[in-house]
Amino acid sequence: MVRYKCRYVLCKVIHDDRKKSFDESDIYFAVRNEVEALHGDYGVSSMKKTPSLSVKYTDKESGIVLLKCQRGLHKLLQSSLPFIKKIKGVPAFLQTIHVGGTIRSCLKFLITYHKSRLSSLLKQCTTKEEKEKVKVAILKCCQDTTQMVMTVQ
Amino acid sequence: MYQKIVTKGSTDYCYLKIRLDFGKDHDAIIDALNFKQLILSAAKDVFGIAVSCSLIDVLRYEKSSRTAVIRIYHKYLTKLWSSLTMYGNINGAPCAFRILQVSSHLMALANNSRSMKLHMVYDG
Repeated sequence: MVRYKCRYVLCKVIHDDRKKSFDESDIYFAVRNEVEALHGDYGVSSMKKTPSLSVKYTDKESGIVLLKCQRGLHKLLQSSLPFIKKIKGVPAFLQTIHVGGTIRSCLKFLITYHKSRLSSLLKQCTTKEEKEKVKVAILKCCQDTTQMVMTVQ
Repeated sequence: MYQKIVTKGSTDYCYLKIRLDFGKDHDAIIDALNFKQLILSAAKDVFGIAVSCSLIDVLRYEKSSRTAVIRIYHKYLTKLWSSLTMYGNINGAPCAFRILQVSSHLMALANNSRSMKLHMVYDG
């Protein structure tokens, strides 16, 4: 048996309305429609091949999304990601942070990414309460992802 | 006199001679612009904007027989060829693109060995 090889694309959803959060199906259909526009029927049907296009993980607080696709087709997916302009009718776009071969490596990267952002976020804070809030939020994100890394292992 | 041209690897462009056929009891008048639009929509259906935005030139079009010579990038030859093959409907009328000749040199389309007629002279 040969295992199916995948590529995981770690993205960040950037949009104006912070209160609005997208669930997995919203992201999936936004990506799928864009692939259809850019690569036609061929693109959509090749994305449905066994390790099919799917959204593996969404973090509503930090707006992180993990997309999964077949290894040979990741360029097809990545080429259509910058063209996404709207998700569920709301102007938003996806920014690729990392591309990895396993969920574990992507989540490991995510922890270092959160940590690296901590200093820049703390600089923007003006009051002590805000600082505490940021600390707690980032700690929570890191803990969640660390837990997931342990479970994936 | 003829000139021998030798190319190493594939050339940049590819030339196709194609004909649009309609099914029985169906007919339509199609001009050069419509013809190009059909090719573009065929490419867009199957391979999306990524392929239909590539260079597609209609060099010569004959309205009466709906035959055209088009120029495309060699890179997209297989994709365009397959999307032309898949195309089969114009506003409900069944149709098909027939690829008559494919060549990387325009000069090669000047003659078609399949339609060549030999005049036998019987010298009895």
